[in-house]
Amino acid sequence: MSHETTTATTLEQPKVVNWMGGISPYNISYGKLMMWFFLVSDAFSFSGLLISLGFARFSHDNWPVVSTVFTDIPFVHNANLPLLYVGLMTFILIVSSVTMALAVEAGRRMDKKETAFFMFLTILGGFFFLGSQAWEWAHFIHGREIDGVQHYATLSSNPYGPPLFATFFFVITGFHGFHVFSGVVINIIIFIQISTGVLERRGHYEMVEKVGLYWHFVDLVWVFVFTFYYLL
Amino acid sequence: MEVENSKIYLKKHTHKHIKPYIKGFWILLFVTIIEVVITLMGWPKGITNSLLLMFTLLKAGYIVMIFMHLGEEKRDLIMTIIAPILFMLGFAFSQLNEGGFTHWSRYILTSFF
Repeated sequence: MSHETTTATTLEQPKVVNWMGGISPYNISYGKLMMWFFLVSDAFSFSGLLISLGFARFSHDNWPVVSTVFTDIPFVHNANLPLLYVGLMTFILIVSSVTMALAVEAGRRMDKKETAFFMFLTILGGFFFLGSQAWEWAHFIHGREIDGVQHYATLSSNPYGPPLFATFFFVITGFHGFHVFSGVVINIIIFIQISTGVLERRGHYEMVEKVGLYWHFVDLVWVFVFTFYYLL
Repeated sequence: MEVENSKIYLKKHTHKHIKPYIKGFWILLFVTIIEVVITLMGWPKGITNSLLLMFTLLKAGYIVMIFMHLGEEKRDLIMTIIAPILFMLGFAFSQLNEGGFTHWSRYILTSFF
């Protein structure tokens, strides 16, 4: 903007308007904005998967009652407790989401020790969830015995219901599990950066907020997977 | 002078403020338990499914608005994030409708031949 008409003594401040450049109209840093945009696009991928799951369910008469398929828990023989272990996995992911929110909160107060502590708990929760999912996959693949013959589940066939039932189990929980895995890896990197004081020297803990956004999104997706695959 | 982008828009707190997260923990825990119980009750499909959808949206809203702090961002940003997602509702409607037709051609149409 040119100020040729004003005299030098008025010291007029140029009026700064959103969208004129130099400031972020969204009042948010570049990194966080791009993380949000990535999450929107990732939400589209998961929507695509869940909506095609809905298509498959609407077009099949013999879709199994899912709570009768997932009735076992680790280390217990023939437990027959429907959805208990999946519920526990959901609980673990919720807890790790809460500890991540607490890590972000501690980061905003520049409390290095507390941020590192809550980040550590979040990583533990992530590992617990991944382990549970590995067990559930193994259990699902092992299948069930029908007339004395063991039937295993694969991508194209399973003893529970239509072939697509197993396909969607592997693809949806697999895609989500891969997100959890990448989240744990990123969390570990940030945990190391916190512990070694890299973020403290930088003067802010915004990296914790960015990975926090990603981690909450993974939890958010699981909320939908839990409802649309296991409950409905 | 170039200032690091992150430093301008940084949100820093001086006091501990963890109440919404503890509250969120209890909400998510109880809603999840209620959801599992509702599923196992064996109520009519319509009632079960609408209750489950409602509770799921409640959980999702709490996570996005409180845990991800979208609630405290500018309204422009909230709209930029939420509006594209709403298109997925139309996508879902069209595909579930189409699933119904596929069901018809898979079971009813083939029974004529």
